[in-house]
Amino acid sequence: MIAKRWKELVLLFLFMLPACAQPPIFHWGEYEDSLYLRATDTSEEAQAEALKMLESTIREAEENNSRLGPGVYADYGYLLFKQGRTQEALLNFKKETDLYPESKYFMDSVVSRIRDREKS
Amino acid sequence: MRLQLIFLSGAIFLLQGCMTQPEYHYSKFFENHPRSVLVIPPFNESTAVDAPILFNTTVSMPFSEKGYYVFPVFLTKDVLMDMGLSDEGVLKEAPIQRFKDVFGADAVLYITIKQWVTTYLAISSSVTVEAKYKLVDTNTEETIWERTEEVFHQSGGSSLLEMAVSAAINAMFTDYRPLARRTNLQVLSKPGAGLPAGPYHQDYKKDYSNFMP
Repeated sequence: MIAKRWKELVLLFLFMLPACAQPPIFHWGEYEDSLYLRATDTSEEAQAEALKMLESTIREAEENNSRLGPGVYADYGYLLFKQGRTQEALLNFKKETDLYPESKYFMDSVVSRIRDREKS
Repeated sequence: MRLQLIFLSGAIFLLQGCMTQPEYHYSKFFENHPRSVLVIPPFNESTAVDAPILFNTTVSMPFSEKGYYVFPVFLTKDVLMDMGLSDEGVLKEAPIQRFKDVFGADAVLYITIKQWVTTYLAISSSVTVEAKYKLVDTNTEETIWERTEEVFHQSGGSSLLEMAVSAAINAMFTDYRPLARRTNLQVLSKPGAGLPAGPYHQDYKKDYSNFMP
């Protein structure tokens, strides 16, 4: 059994090698899986599941004081916005901007568009 | 003796041929080192309809880990759609300036999927993913980094029966994402040809010597 499996183990090791070369800069949690789910399944259940994945990813990062990867707050906020939870969405857009000044220009324009829509 | 010399010089000549690597120039890149990258939803030259959607979910993590701010995947996709830029043909023709105006991005990354395919051979199957990456500076509108990368994975059983079983499983469900991830990692970290570290990386502006021809 082991003799049969060793090839797979070597392969797995090789797969992991580039990832191990340096510790990750950011906390990602289930971000990539949430993207995959949102991309491949548009059902309400899948969107709710993706929301949960992002929630726990963000909670982990905040609890451990690790830096959340670029775009996670923003994509989470966007999912909240689509579910009508606008105030929470705006809060997460603000967090993205605070963490990454590079996003400020874009996030500000998204926020002002949402505010305009609320007024009308 | 003379014959030996000719052989030797021939061998050296061939060796040099092997050792010559294409020279990549990073001067434009270093002149205006980008902080943020807008990933445009990938273009598709493969026959797999779902390739761009799947590939797109694997790009932001590795490029962020290289130290760059990468714009949020879904928000980006939908804002582009709002701008009337969801169609591949339209996206290709869109002026770079528009991406700067809307996103404030320093650089735009265009990805073209060249191959996304499973090939079934007599006793094994292989999966290939190939993609072209083109990074364009939004200020100068010049291409600052352009690479093509291919990843190939062969799986074959020792017995025909085992092979038939695994081929059947593969046909139903080939997960291309591990290969897409490897394509990204390889293109980013290739010695002398990869992407220099961005502002969130500890090697930012310290790794320039790795990219000198």
